[in-house]
Amino acid sequence: MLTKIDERVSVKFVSSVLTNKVYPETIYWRGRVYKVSKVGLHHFYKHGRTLKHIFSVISGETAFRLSFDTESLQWKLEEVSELN
Amino acid sequence: MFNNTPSYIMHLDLNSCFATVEQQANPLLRGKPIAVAAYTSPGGCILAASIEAKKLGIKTGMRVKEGREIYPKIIVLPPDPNKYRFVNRKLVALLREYSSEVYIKSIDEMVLNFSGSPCFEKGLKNTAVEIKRRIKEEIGEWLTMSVGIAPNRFWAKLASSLKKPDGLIEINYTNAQDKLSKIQLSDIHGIKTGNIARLNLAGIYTPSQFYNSPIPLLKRAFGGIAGYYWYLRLHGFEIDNVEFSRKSYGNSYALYKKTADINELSKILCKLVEKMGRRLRRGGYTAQGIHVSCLLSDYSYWHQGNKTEKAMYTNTELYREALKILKRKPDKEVKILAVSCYLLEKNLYNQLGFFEDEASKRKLSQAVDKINDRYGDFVVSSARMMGLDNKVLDRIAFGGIKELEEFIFEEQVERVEFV
Repeated sequence: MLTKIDERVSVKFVSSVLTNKVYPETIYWRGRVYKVSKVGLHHFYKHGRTLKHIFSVISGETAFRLSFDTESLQWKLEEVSELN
Repeated sequence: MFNNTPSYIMHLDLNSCFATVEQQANPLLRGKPIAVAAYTSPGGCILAASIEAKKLGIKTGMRVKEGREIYPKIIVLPPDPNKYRFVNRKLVALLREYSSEVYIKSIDEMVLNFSGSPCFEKGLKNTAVEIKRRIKEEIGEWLTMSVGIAPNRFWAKLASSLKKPDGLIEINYTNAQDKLSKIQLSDIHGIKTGNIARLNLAGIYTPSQFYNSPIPLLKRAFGGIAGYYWYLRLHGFEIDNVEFSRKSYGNSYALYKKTADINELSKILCKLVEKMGRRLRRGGYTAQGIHVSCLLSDYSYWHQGNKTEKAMYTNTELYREALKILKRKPDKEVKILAVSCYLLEKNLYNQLGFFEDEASKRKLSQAVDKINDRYGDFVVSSARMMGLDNKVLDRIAFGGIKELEEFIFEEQVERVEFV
């Protein structure tokens, strides 16, 4: 079931020049820590002049949609979904 | 006789595009029947069903409730156009490494012309295998493409439709007739109810008979030159390498609750016109014609158009003319409302204005567009649109997608690997 969240969250992000890989590694949300096990898709789009990066990731049996605002440099958890 | 030149056209079709991209984004959905629908409510129209859902009999165009009758546990998602456009741009960027002639036919279909390309030398089948592999490695491991290779666009598209998902078929002079003998007339794109009736009247009932018909018979069947074009197409000659320029801009909205109330409809019309006007001006065009159409509650279709003396480009002008037309509609409830503008000229802000108010009109229009460019669409919009925040959502059109040109990023799509 998909739930809209739209809350600011803390994210630990890895950008490795050695492996040429960039990905959110850990999400800290409502006092809990979620280790990202897989990035399904990363895409970006422009809202007005602001570029937003969207990371669709999973942690265990939960899927997260994270957005990174390149103007405010803040992360937001947009959606969470779990399979019933 | 079939054109015996080597195959140089490749048609690629991203299987179950929207649904597959959603499964790519959310690995928990992979291998499950899912559907992307215009609205997730029971009356919402299914825009794409995943390969697993298709196997159960769920098809594009069905209502969500029809899909649930077939498989009650189907996962229904709303569309995310930015995601699909992004994947389309990544695909196009990858394909451009293989040919300078890449034609985007729709959000999930691309055509490559390999004539004169070095890839042509190493064989198109080998190239297709490499493209498929790179798509999985560089864009998404869940994405599969059906690829057709042939001497013309028609046969390449047909070849790509013969094996889904993940097909790779070449059709040329050696196997074209064999392929035709295994399909129905309705499997040929461009041949549906009307054309089947025309062909049946001429005594043509199968694709093989269609292929073997002489030009005069086909000309009689189609009532002129179209018959000759079909002859060439079927015999592997290229006649579809025509790119049409933009003729109009338009937007439409399927009403959640049908209504005949002109006040309610005029608000929706206003939002449609603002979206259309933004796109018109972004393209640098003005329009001298406007057209409004409605699908009414009794499934009848009403439409009218108007030409104007002056070229229009501001939202106010476009809305005023569109509203005049809408007010002439029959007194019946509307299910779908659409507006489009035509008679386009690429001369936005280039025309000389005799009157002072023209200059201020331009400045206002440019200022509003600049604010919306900076902060996002509808940040500044007409007061008529109040309360319409969640109506007339961003959508991707079926078929030709001139709109994709409007979303091309200036930024390069960097090739960075994601875990």
